Amino acid sequence: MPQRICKLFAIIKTLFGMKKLVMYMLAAAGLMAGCKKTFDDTINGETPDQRIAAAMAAYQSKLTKAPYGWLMLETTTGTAFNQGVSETGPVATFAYFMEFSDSNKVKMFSDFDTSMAVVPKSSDFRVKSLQRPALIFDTYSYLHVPCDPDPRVSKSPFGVGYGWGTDFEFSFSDSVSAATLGDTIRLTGNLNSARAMLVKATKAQRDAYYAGGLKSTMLAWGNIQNYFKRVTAGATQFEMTPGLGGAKSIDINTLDGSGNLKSANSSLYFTATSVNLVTPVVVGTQTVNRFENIVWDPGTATISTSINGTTAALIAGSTSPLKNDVNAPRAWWNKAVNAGEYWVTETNFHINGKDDFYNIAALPAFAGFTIFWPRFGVTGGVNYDLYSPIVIANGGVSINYGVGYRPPVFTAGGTVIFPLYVTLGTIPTAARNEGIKIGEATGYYLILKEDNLTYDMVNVADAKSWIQWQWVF
Amino acid sequence: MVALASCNKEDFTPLTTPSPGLGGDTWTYDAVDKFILDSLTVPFNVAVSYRWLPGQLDFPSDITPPDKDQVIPMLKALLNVAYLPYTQQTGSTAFLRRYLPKTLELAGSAEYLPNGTKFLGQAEGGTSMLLYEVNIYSRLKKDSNTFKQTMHTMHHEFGHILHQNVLYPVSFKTISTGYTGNWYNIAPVTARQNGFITQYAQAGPDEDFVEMISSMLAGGDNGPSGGYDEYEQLLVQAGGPTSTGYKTIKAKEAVVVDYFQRVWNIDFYALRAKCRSAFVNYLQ
Repeated sequence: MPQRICKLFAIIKTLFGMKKLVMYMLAAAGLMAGCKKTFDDTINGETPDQRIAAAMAAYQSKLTKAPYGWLMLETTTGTAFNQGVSETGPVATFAYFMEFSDSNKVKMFSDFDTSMAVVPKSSDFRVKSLQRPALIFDTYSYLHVPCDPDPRVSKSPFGVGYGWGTDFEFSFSDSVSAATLGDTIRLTGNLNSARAMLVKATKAQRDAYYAGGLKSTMLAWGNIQNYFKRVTAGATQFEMTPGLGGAKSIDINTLDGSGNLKSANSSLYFTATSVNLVTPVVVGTQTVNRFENIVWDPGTATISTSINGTTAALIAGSTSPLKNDVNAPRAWWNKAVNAGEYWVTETNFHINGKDDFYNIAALPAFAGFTIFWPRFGVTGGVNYDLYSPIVIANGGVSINYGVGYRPPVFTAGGTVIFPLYVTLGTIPTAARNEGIKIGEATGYYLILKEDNLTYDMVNVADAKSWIQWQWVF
Repeated sequence: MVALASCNKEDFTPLTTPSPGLGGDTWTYDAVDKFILDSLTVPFNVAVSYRWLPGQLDFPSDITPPDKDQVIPMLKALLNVAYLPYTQQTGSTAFLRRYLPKTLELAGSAEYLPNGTKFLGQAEGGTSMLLYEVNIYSRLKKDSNTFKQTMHTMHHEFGHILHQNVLYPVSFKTISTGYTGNWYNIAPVTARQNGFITQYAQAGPDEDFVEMISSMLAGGDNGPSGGYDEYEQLLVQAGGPTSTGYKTIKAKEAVVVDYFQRVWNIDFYALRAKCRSAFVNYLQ
């Protein structure tokens, strides 16, 4: 500090010459006198190292001293990094229950999968001083699963090398000191900037996790296998359908005053007692934050629940949409025909709660995607539509076999039927079965999703089978 | 000037608390840390870091730390299948004690690269070795392919450590031409027909040299069976004994064997026999 003032003084001297020197000398002298009083490398008598050590100890103690552990929510930004390169995809939220111990151990449950919901896994953590104070989960835990770069583990749609964009190394990001943190601790991921929040749990919450509440909530919620789920709460009615962001994403559909369909998307997460919307949705006069007391009644095949813990509601499977867009099937088909292109699915048929029901992923040399190509070609005088799982052959991708359909029948009710016509090539049984499923005479609804590029094709018979078609052009 | 002088001298608070992290990280030691100390640090002078250390792996990459339950099994496999043959062959732990990389880092997942390939291991400056995919390690017979991959990676990286200490004869670099960064676009069989024992051997002479070592000691991927196969079976894909591919690989083999004998006083074929029996006996 003294040196800087001397330098300033020298500059002034050269700029203004000697005349004004006396005046600036006086000013400089005044500054120097002031500097002596304020110069101090401590705050309240503590050095930076002492303060860092105290803060680390305070964070550690905060985490380990919560008597009933913590609920942790981690929400991604929709961006995932690897090798300094980012990919974008759906935003997701994952929920955990965690207990930290003084011996650097953390025990947790996760709502990623029911297998992680009932047996707690023990791993390690550290509180460490990086650029900012950091909480690092430093050996593999349930928290690392959605971050695993192997999509077979993370089930991430971001591609090989990318998880969901979650983190396991966080910076404490509250703007208050460690010692004054309350019952909520905010964290920001160091790699993907995912936002996480630790909220102190109550005894009842902890007991519910150890009693298997998380798994039973997840199982109860999964009991209704229909694509369309109708929620009735008094006079209010709305519909829930699967969203685009994976298994824990839903669309909430309502009808406005003039009968138009309104749709809102939210991620879901599960706790031991509730199913929660990350983005609350307003339905009529009711804001839906969460569903509590979820009870499955196998007799009536319905779920009784309580919206926000206050409004009793009943959830039932439905075989038809709240409002069907009667033009959707034709629009879907025409889009491909007009472009001379095709629709793609990477997930194949979901039937009765099971993803990839026909196990298309296990087909020999399967390239990872299946197409529906309207007006693919002419055989026997019929310009047929083609269903075909794509295979890798001769260093490229190839249509080696498939199922052909006569031109689709668009019904007045807004559904579409694909009359079976022919099988092509040497078709494996799994592909043949899936092709025949598309040809079912009951036909399909087509539901346009929020990105305007994706349609879900839902079986009319029971709405428990559907396949998702993406536009990739 | 009086004011200046008085301002220079100030009361600095003496350092009574060391900087956080000075002298390394600390945590509560448990059974895994004790195993590492007793089995690797004391006998071989090797430090193992299995906990996630920000910045120690490639920073802006999606890599996960190892599952703690996998650490001891993985290290036991290394000790019994990869290290023990060297000790048996050289008659003491002195060789490994001197040349094993002093830090061994473990990662749970692989590191995926933008070109669609992934790192399974890395070796640096003769002193540090990194093994990935600890989380999928298994010694079960049904997973023998994964196990062979782990051992292949281990011998590959240790091969780097050896040549980073004493370089192989420069003439090795001219046995083959056609080294390429696009090695992953050339089919394994084509690579063998061109005189490279694996796809990755085409990446450069250093990689070629250590892929020869690791393929001979632990077998190589994409063999006639579709997975890891022994060196002799890989050679079949190179062509008949008079083919260029076969002869090129054999010429490289001769250099490797000669290098081990002259530089390290190790009978490579005897070492290979020990590695193979150690591997077979370790499978469950």
